[in-house]
Amino acid sequence: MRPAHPFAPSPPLVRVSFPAVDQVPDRLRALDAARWRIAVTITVAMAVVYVGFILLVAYGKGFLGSLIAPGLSMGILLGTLVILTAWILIVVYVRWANRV
Amino acid sequence: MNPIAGPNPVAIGGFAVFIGLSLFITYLAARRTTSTEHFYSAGRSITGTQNGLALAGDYMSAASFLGIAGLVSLSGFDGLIYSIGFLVGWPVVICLIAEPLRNLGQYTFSDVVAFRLRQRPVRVASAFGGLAVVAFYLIAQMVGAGNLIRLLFGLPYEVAIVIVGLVMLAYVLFGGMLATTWVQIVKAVLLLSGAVLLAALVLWRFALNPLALFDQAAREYGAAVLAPGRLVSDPLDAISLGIALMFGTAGLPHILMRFYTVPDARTARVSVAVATAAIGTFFLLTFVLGFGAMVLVGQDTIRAVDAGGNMAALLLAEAVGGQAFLGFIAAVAFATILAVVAGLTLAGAAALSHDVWVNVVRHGHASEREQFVVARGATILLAVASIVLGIVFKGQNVAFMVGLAFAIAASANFPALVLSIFWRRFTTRGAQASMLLGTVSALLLIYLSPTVQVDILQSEAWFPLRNPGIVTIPLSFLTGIVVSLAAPGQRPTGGSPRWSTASTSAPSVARLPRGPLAGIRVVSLAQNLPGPSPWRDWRVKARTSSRSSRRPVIRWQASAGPDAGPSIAASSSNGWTSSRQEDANGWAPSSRPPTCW
Repeated sequence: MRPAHPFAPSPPLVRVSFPAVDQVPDRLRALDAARWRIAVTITVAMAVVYVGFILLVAYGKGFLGSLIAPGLSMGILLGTLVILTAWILIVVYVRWANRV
Repeated sequence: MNPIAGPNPVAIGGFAVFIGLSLFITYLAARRTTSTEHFYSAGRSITGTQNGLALAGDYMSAASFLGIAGLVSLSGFDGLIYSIGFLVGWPVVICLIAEPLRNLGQYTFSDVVAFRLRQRPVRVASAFGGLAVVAFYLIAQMVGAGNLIRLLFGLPYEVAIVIVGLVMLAYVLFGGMLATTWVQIVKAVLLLSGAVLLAALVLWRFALNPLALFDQAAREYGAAVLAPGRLVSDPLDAISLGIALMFGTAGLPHILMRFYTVPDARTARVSVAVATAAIGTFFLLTFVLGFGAMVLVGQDTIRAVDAGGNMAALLLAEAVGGQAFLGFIAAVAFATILAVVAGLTLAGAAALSHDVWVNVVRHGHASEREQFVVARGATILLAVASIVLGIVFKGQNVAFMVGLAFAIAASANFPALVLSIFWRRFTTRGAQASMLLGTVSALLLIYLSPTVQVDILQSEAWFPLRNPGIVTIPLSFLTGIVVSLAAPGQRPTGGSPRWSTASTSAPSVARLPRGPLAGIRVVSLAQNLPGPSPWRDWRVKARTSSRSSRRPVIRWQASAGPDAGPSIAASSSNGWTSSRQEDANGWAPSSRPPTCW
């Protein structure tokens, strides 16, 4: 049997019943809303951290250039923290989404 | 310090081994590429970790490895803006884009945007934007590869570019996505281990203390290398670059495609976590590699070898590990470029053959054989174009070029993607206008920027910023919104696609009542259970009662029309069917907007 092409038209073979949209359990709706809230929170958190960093790069050059220790400038420290933040946010989200 | 000069037998040996190995993998994979669907998406047979590594492999391109190391070595801190910007797009991608996209079960970005709008106009516009992104990304990779081959083999730059183009063609034409998926995995592992090894060898000289390395750099080149301002002096340019990098990730067509190569949402999420772990580690290492090259190789040497600094990592490898290590790193870098180029070409070929040819020229009625031929023709076309453009953009830094590709992706694709997923009132005309204006304005501003006008044409720049993102991304959003509101008649009823995390319940089991598949047991995948949206689809696996070795896979599309009540159209094949298939056969979204989505 030759595999059907994904975009070639082919007739629907069967029609069977399935739960209607308004029969979807409330639990699933709640879950969807919760996922949505978490996704927005994480996106906003990342945007705030990153935009703050970029604004410092643009307008806070002196601050980012200040040395905390020999060889460690504020810019390098904060840059590293931004990378770590991005990763932590993703892990938090994936763990949450795959647990529920 | 003796920079690489002319052919180097050790490096060439390492090269030959790797290229032979990857062509062998491609050959093995080619034997398994049986259908068009396979060609694009590897038959959805990749696991989460594998897909994560492949994602990382796609993302950690020549730009990350050669470009960023070069930028950091020449300008210090400012190169790190790229490292950071390339990673922060990922939370946005996974939270806002990947899940809805994945649930629609579409292959390309244009499939998703076109999903609830009129197909043809949206497809033309999005193929246009996608191709612009792919073109710039390709140019960057070609420039990096050309420099590498030129230095290593002592060949002229132009010859080197042609060779890269041909090897890339061989990859894509003979293997398809499965080959490139496996090549990406091999590559991601090699690249990470190469970078770790190189960074370790550098840090060994500084008592394993990166701060000692940074301190040494500050003492030799002034404390300014640890502060911003040497590369991106205009504050607006810094913001523009930052925005483009963050939102560009979500609009990259070859990254989006990777969400369809795994069987379910859970796996897709795991693969993003794996990918970001790999990418994050890698970008932290670029701090060490860049400053290491600055101190151990010296800025003058790096600049003398390539004006864009693209060879800094290779020179560093030679400085700390000798010729043999150079051969290894060079092979890894080349593999990086080749694999990304192959992935990009595939995404571009998909846009040309599947969006433009099948859906626009042939109105969705192209035979599989015809699609195959067109996809291959498109691949060859793209290879030729990238060879020519790679020669034109000689001498640019690779990471910078990729920054431009990100700006185009963020202007052309990202606004339309976000609006189509989250805004009910988005219309076909709005999508068209947003994508076309985003692409055209980004391309135009790049053409008028100092990069093209000053660096290539040696003329005056009309537009002050090197990265156009700060102008073109808001412009594209605004256009999409204004045009949608001005032409509301085009708006389809129904909600926008969003999915739930409905992955808890037990799989639903049903038996198909009649038709040729009667009696087949159908099991819905747990993560695709009915959610509150009529756009939800169920992917089901069916087990035939016969002893057929090929188990057909059935995909369902649920519709909640007010008249017929809930119903499901299912069609069977050995691959997934597309939702457009049901579309063409009477499947329609609800005529009422859903109460909750």
